[in-house]
Amino acid sequence: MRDREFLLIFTSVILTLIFSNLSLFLKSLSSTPFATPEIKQAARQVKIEGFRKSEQDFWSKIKDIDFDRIPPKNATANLEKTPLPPKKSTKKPTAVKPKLTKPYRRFLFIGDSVMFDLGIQLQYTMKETYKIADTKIDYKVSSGLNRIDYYDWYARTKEIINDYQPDVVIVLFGGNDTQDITDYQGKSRVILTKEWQKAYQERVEKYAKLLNYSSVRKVYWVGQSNSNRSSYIKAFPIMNDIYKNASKVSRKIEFISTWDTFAEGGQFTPVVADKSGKRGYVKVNDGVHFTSHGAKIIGDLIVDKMAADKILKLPQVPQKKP
Amino acid sequence: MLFPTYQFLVFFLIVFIALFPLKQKVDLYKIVLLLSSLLFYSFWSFDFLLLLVLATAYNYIILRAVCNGKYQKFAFISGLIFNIANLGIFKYCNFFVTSLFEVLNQLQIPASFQVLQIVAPVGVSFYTFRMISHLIDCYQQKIPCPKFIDYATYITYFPQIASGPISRSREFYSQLNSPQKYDYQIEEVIVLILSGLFKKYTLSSFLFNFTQLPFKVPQQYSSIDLILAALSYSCLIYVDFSGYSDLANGISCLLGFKPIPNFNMPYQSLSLQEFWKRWHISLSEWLRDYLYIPLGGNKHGKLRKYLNLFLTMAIGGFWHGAGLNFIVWGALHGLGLIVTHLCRDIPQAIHFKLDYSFPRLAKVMNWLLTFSFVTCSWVFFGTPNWETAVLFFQGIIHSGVPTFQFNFWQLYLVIAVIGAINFWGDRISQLLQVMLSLKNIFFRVVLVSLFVYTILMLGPSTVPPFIYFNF
Repeated sequence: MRDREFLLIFTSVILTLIFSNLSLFLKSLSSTPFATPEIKQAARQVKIEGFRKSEQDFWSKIKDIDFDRIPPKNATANLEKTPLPPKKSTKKPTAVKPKLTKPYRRFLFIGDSVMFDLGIQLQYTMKETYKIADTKIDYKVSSGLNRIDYYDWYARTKEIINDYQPDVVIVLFGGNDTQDITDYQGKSRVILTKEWQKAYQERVEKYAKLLNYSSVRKVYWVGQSNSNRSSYIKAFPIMNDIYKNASKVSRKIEFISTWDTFAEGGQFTPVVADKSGKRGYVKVNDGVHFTSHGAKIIGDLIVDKMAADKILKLPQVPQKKP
Repeated sequence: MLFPTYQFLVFFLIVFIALFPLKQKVDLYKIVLLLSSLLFYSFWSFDFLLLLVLATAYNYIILRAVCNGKYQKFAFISGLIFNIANLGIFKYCNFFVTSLFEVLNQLQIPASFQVLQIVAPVGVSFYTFRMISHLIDCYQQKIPCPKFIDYATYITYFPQIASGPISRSREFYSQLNSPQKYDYQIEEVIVLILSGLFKKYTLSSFLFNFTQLPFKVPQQYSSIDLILAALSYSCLIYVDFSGYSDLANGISCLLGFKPIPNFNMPYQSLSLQEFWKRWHISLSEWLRDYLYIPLGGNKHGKLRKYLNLFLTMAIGGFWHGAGLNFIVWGALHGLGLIVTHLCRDIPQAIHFKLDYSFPRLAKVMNWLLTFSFVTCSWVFFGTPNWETAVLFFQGIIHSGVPTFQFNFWQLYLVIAVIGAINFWGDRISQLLQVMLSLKNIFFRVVLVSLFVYTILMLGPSTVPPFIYFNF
């Protein structure tokens, strides 16, 4: 008798909840295995508003905090110094002014949870070596350029670039994109088929164009590194080619290949030495996330590239007066 | 399949409808319950299910040998080795491999080991503990050898398989085999489920965001932020795990099993000893009965007692996770318990009775000391490794970051709410039960819907997984 009464209350409560906020129910149901493509399609139309919207904004606020932001006075320490006034000379000053390069002040790291691990390492290296503190990681777990319905990276990237006004953006996607894709015609494409590659390329190119037409001055698109998982070994080279081709849309965007960083003779190697010669495991067991040692190696690769491109410069140590 | 999901809702609705008419028909009830548990577990992975079935079958063969055969001791030891090896391979293998690599690396001996692609089966720590305790109980002839279906139902029992509470076989079998199942009160179950949902969905999910980054990159936060993050983690782990236990107990009640007390407002403890009587009670009792007492307990003098306490807690820490930080966490609690015992044993030995002039102040100080110790030790538990934990404490003492980032009234409110649950949780629960004991079913539905709706609205769009699913 008591069981029946409980069952009655239980089902009544569920039905009351479903009908009291049908749109919210639809939205949450769409992420379950029960959801048909029609339900998923309908859920995409539901806009998040009211309390949910405020709640998301609140979390974004927490996530968007500028970690370790150094006050503007110190922040310029790393920047390219304007040339010192010329020493007094008997010669007449020439008319030609020294060419001024606008310094690269702000760095934004965009991607999924893999970028979070890498971004932390980049922030650390850039602060320690180049005294750069104006950096930001904007990451979303389980996201990518495949499931834009889950997280719209186009909208988010526009928003964050407008708000933060970065000079340099470093992008890393792909860890969660190894799944079937729904193309712009609404058709589901099986992973790694030609149709899938075309659909994914469209997503990536759209993102690259977005970055190209933005105020960002330089973009580094970091490719996926070798893995111990066969599914990634199969998918990542294809995806890397797509990123590489998309990077060619603009001179502003540059692809950084990391595929061979964790490989010997084309095969994945779990233990790699960093610049100091210290050896360590580079990836965790899932085959996609870096260990802190692995993130350091990839981080150093990116930082070295930026230094070679003169985007990063070592801070000038003030010389002692004789 | 997590508890607060649609998948589980549908699964449980079907299982409950199938099971409740069978409560009087014990044999049929057992079969349906066992099949439901296996189905539940198969949602994680068929490989995991296969491992569980094999481990259960092997353990049962060993149990039969222990109870009936000539080679009791051999069977018992082989059973223990099997279970420890099973846990060791799935949970600790890579830890030992990487530790060995680190040692060789320090000695500058070139070595490279392939990290094994092992994913620990869900709940492996919990069901292995149940298997071990059952084996010991049978070996010590505390319980007779059960029927296979009883044993399999006990090991695979779905509300408890993933994260406990760790039930005892004797109590489980007596309830399973009785046609008079636990006679729950509807309001009792509703309060348990509401409490579990509120703790997990609203409070734990909220705090999750304040602990993730500071526990990974403490060097990026100010001292006050790190203190708040440590406090948040203390609150988070309490609401997360006790919320899970509440849900598991609520579901168990509906299936006809008495709830197992697992948390009893632990942060009001005045000593570390009291804390472990209130925190994860089923594990504390398991460690006491199957580790501390077999090690000798307090039967072989004070020094041995202290050593046993230390070993029990350090092993308990290692059970939580394959990492040096977990061992340090356990060892710290072991040392803390030794100090607590010393504070009692030494005055007793010299016949000294401490007379507090200010008993209330002494209570407050004891509480503060215990809570601070527990909170600090959680830092080792929550950080990914030992080095990060050290950075965390360095940051608390001196941080180069001046910006106070966690100054949100919502955070203070959530901590205050958890404080209230911790100090007056029993009273709040009783009050809710009185409110929900309305005879009019319509008002009950309205009230419960209102509570659940509020919980869901206050919760985030993505609920993070239960912390204890990792262990």
